[in-house]
Amino acid sequence: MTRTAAPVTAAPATSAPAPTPPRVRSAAWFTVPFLLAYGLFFAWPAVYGLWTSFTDANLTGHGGAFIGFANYAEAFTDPDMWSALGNTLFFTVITTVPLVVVALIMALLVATGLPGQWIYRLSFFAPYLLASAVVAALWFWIYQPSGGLATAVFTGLGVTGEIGWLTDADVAMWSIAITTVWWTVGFNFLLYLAAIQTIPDHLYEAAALDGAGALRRTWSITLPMLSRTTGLIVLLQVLASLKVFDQIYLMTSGGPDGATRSTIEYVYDTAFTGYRLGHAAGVSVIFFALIILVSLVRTLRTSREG
Amino acid sequence: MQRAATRRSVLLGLLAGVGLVGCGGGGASDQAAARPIQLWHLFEGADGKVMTAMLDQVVARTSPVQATCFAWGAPYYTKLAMASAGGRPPDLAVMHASRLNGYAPGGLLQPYDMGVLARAGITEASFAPAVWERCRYQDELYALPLDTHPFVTFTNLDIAAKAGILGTDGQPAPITSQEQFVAVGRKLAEVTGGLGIAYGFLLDTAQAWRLFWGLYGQTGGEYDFAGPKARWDDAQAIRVVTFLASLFADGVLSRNLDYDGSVSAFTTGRAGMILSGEWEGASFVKSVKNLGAAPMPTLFDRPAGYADSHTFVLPRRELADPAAVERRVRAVAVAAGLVQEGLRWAGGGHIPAYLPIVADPRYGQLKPQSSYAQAAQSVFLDPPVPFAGPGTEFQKRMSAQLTRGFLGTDTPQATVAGMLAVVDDLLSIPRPA
Amino acid sequence: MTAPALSPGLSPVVDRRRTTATMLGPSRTARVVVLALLIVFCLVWLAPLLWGLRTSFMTEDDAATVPVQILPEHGWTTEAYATILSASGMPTWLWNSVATAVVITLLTVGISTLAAYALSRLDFRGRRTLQAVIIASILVPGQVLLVPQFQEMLAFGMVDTFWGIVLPQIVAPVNVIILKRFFDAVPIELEEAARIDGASRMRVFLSIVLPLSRPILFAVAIFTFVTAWNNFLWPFVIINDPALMTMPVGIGTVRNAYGVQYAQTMAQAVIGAAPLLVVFVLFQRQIVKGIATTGLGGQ
Repeated sequence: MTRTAAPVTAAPATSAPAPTPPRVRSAAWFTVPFLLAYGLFFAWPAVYGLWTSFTDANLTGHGGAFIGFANYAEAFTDPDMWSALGNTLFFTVITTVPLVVVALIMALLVATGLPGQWIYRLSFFAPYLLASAVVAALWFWIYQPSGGLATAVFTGLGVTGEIGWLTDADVAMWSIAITTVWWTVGFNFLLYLAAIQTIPDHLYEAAALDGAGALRRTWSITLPMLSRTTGLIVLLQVLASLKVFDQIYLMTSGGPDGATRSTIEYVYDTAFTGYRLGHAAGVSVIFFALIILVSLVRTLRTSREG
Repeated sequence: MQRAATRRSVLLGLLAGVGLVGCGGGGASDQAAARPIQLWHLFEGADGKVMTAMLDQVVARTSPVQATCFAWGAPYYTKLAMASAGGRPPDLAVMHASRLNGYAPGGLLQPYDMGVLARAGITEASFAPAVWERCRYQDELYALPLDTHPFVTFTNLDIAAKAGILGTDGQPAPITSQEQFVAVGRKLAEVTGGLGIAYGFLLDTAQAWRLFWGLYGQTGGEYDFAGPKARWDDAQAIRVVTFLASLFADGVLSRNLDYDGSVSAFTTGRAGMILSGEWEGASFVKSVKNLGAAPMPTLFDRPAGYADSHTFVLPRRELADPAAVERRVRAVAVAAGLVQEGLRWAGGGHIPAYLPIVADPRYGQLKPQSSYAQAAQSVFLDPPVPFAGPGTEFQKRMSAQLTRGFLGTDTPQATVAGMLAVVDDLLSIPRPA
Repeated sequence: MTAPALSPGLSPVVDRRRTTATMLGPSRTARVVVLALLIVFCLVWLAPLLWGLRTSFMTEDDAATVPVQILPEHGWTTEAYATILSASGMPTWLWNSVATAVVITLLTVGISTLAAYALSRLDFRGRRTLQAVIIASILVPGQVLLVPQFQEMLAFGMVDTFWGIVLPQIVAPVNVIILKRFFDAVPIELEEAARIDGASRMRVFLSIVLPLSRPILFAVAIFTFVTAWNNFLWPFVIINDPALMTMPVGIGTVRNAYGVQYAQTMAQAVIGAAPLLVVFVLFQRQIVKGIATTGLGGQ
């Protein structure tokens, strides 16, 4: 069908943003598949989870009666829950700091453009693509008290005696943190690298002309321009760390004696080892509230800065 | 247009293909009568090798079996419960008898059909009454016992000979009092120059509990954990903890041994005797030339020793069609066959539950297993509460509390009170009717 | 709250290497120091994988030797791999991983792209609400829904089934937003032209928009595949039957009845690691670009 010359008055201004599209019925074809999946596997479980938290639902199929706020009351006075939360917060702190600092250092080093770029990218990022079970298997072997690489390295450095990397309550969480940093730093490294490479060259050239050395330029130009990226990375990292489960469950099962158990693992233990689906749902809701709180705090801070 | 259509149809075809495979896989793995009997267990290491050898024999006689080994303790039992709740559990699973009370009342298991068992050659008379009783719940048989595995003592007979504690039969003279126990420990320590009696408990989630509970059983073992408040004989419990604490304080037992350390101390000859589960016997036989064994000595009022029992259970499955019923019958046949292979299992150190094997002269020739076989007569099991058993919070927390009592960090009174508080705490967790 | 996003000023080209001169200046020492640091970092970061690799090619006796020796006494061998590939559940688990990851990717990309296009180009009742709900949903971590999703699968009788693994994983609000943003930036003229020519919206979508979106679709697909492949918690909870386990679940759950054998365990880990490492080597550019520009791949 040929296009007839449209009257001038009806010609749309193409320079304006997309005009409001007309109401469309065929939109259903596009939205229904997602809405169906979303409704069935996201929205409904969210609502049902909230309901379950007010019941004593049990894995065996018995239970399920409404018990009001009993689960919440019990959770707030349960030392195991607070201990798991404490472990999770401790884990978050001791991993977020290195995951930001080490990633930044790596990115700064690689961004200098020295030859071997693909080797660096591969070495630092490849671990990120490994499944948690693979990472846990590798590091469980490394942390073996007698035959493991970690002990061998420490012996080589002159430290005598066996270290219970995963069996000593004071050491276990640090060991898991080291594993986590090795595993996931590559992601932050790439974010930083991309950010550094958007910094215009002329800033560096101007500073060099003014006599600023490499370190000084890094300090005064690179770092300030990365502050927004850093903020984003910290937020992503904190949220991810709060949700930790895999490597803790796989390497120490929350031990020794609950010293490394995270909140999500506490939920798993309560629901499936202890059969208490209702109580676990309650803890999940409390945990969700914490996540929202962290996200809100961050949003408020950025909107105040922004 | 043409390309888009082709691309779309390729995508859809791929999706359908993989989906069909997925569906087929999901369905077939469940219904196909041809699928081997699925057996889940938690035997890693020495026990696992023996179980695999037993399965080879049984498979030849009954049915193909596919066995999967899971990590011992809570991971295994959690997966078993979830599989049973989900409706597609394995046909057969291993379970500690002490765990039965956490599964049978919840409806996660199915009882055995005595008729089917009889056809496989197993009746009530095949087992000792005490063993049989603890496999039953509400008058039905829910578990088929394979063995009893008690906490016993192993002795290095060479070191014992040098220490002068052997009797006329070349076996250690039976220990019948606390004083004698201490004396034996000191004499053995003189010979080895270090440890006399090895006992690993540090950071262990079960060892402390095993030793304590068996000895508590020797005092009469009264307890009432029916709730809501736990009760036991405080005086006797304090008596046991006091005795054990004195052993550590006086250097008869080392304060620093963990499980692996104690095993290695005994196998390398640095200790003359070890308090250990009999399941280590198979590895001791390899490293100690002259190995003796005996049930836990009676240090209190009557013979008793801590023990648990491995059994086979049938996870609940809807028997919807004749094929499923036939599978169930085959699974029972496999379980019965494995029980009847008990002689091989005894080679791994366990006391077979199947009486015909215990009576078998070949079993009598197994050394040192036959030396502690009578421990099966006087076992003191975990309390029949839903939260007891190996790998549970219960054993973990009791052991942690006991460790403080052993090392003197807590007084015996505080230790006993603390242990009772643990039971109260676990009793208070709401359980549906 | 908007999805965690990078500043709009980021260039999509991350391969551009700044000249070393600009960054480090003329100093030779600086170059040497930085290079040395880089080499140290690389060695440290590669060490765990290399260590696992080295152990996997040894006999079990050598692997268990204490004190640790770098090179095995009995030479190198592939017996651990042979055992894992022939006598363990690994082949089954790998196949399950492939099947679930492919189906999840196809379904996720499919429904997300359709929904994203609708949000971008079409007006319908509840459009703004839907967009707000999807954005809000990004805040909800999957772990929070673990218990109710399990209960739901239990009620549907889908515990220990293929679709039980797949279905809850196809809802990815982040993908919808990323794709919508992409569509927003595509000039609308081509579509308008086709619409005027009488094509239906679906036809316009399938034959004009999709081909134009190949790069972003590919990036989203890769990340969805990687996430699905590596996912542990959900498949771990929903699957108990070893025949249905995905690779991470199998490795993390099933034990060797003969006891811990580290050469085999490492061989298993290497085999488990290999597929995605190959994916990375093949699609490095898209993966790196995807992370840098869209924030895809965050845990």
